[in-house]
Amino acid sequence: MGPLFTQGIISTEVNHILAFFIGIGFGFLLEAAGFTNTRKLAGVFYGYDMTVLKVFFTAALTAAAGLLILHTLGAIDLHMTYYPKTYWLPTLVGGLLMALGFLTGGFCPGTSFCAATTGKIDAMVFVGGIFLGIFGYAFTYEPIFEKFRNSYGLGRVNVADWIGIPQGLFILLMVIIAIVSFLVADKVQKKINAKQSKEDLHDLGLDE
Amino acid sequence: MKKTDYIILSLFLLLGVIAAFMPNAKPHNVILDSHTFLYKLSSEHFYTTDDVAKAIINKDPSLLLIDVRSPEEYKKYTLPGAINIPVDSLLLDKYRNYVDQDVYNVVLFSNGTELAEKAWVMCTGLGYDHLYVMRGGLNRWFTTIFMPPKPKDEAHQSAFELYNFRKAAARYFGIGGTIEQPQSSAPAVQPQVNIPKTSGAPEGGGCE
Amino acid sequence: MDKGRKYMNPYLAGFLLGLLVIIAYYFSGEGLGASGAYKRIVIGTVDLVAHNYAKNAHYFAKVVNGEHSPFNAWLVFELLGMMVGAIISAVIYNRMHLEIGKSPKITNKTRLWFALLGGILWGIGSQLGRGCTSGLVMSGMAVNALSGYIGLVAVFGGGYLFAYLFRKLWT
Repeated sequence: MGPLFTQGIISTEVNHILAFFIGIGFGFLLEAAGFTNTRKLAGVFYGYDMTVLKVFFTAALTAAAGLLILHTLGAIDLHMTYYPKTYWLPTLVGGLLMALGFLTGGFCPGTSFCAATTGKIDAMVFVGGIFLGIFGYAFTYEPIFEKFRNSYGLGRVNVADWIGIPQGLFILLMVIIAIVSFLVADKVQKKINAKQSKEDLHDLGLDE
Repeated sequence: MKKTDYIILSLFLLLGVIAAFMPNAKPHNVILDSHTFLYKLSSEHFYTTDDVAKAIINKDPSLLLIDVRSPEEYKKYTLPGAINIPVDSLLLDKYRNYVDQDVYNVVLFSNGTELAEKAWVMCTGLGYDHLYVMRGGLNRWFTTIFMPPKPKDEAHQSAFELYNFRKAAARYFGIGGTIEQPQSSAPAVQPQVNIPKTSGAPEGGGCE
Repeated sequence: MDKGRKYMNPYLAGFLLGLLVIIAYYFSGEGLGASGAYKRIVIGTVDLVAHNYAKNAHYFAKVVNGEHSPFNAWLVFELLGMMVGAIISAVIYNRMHLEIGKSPKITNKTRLWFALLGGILWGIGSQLGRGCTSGLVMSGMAVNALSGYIGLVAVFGGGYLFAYLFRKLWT
């Protein structure tokens, strides 16, 4: 029964070797989905390419549903896995900074690393920027960030519990919302791209 | 949408539906289930008196000592830098951030091992982590640090190293070989625990 | 620009990614992540150069004083694996090129400066927010964590909120 490493069933060395192989899968999927292409990534915010939405929601919710099912079947004990604590305001602010980072840089840490590895120079610069940002943060941590980062803590809050509905029901609701968003996204993408082609034709002087 | 899309999204929806039928997993915020509890109980959670002495002397910033005895005993003598949270107050809201956190290594101690161990069991049962017990308590602190048993002549080198370490530690803690009140019981290195008015917590842990 | 075999079906990619998250939790007890690996690299580097500073500074202390080297962490090995995986995919799909990815409407220089800025923002934001899209949001959502959903709203919501300001970079 999982998690194996937490219970000492596999050693640190084996755990890390597995991490490497899991990473291979992760990197492969990100690249295969096209996430080394910043225009494709940024497209979700402008409507012309909604791939990010589709991949992201499918991944997160497949994992959620799968983990809950496995937990019920006794294949994994979710009480022994890492569970993040909620610090709502620092996370919110951090998220907004990350959103800005996305809109300016076009990547996130994972995708940029894959892109840098496959030759995208802008991604290499981006990765360099991440390191710069972290260094800056680390050396100004105590005077500037420490207090804020550790405030507004709510403990290990589970959304379904917080709302007051069962775990599985929450996941199903999110899955439905996701699927609906996929359908809407397709319509939006079609419309935006049709509009774009019209504009391109117009620019080239090729329309009627 | 292409045929593949329909297939995968149907699978996705099916997964969500199955998840919705899973019995509700126990929330994370309440008392651990027996299985996980037993697992934690059997895990290594002791600091020897030498470990604690080393950490204090090295000014290890991740160490947080909590004296779980009564305030009267705490005033009479305590370990340098220790804060006082009597066992019966450990679960009060105002002290929660000291025991429910993921930055410091909290070492609980009392006169012997029993009281600190009780405190540890109580907190661990609530799902708190990074808690340890100083085995032997202050009684053993006195007999190892202040009156370290001198190794026999034929003893192993490491025994002499330990003896010398303890003698040096004793001098550091203000004792010249005899048992007297140390110069100051005031915490030498007050750990910086940021407890803002709102439900904040000490330094946050690593991010994923 | 989705031309048939050029990219993997997004739903398939997402589904497989979800399975990978499950596998990660099953074996290691933690989910996927990325910014955490960067953090480890920074801490490890500073530790090599200035151990005495690092063991006392609050940002570095816990990791530096731990029983393993900062570099010896699950996320770091995962990141190394990502390199290999990305290269394999890029070779298969013939996307292994040295290039600058950008909109044709801006210059290379502009792109690179903004890439640097974006990276810096992610560096700070991910530390403050305790993760990035994979670690904070995706792995968080996988366990129905509130922190993950706050991250989702902040990153994606924030993205939509500010998108108009940066439209010239992309469209």
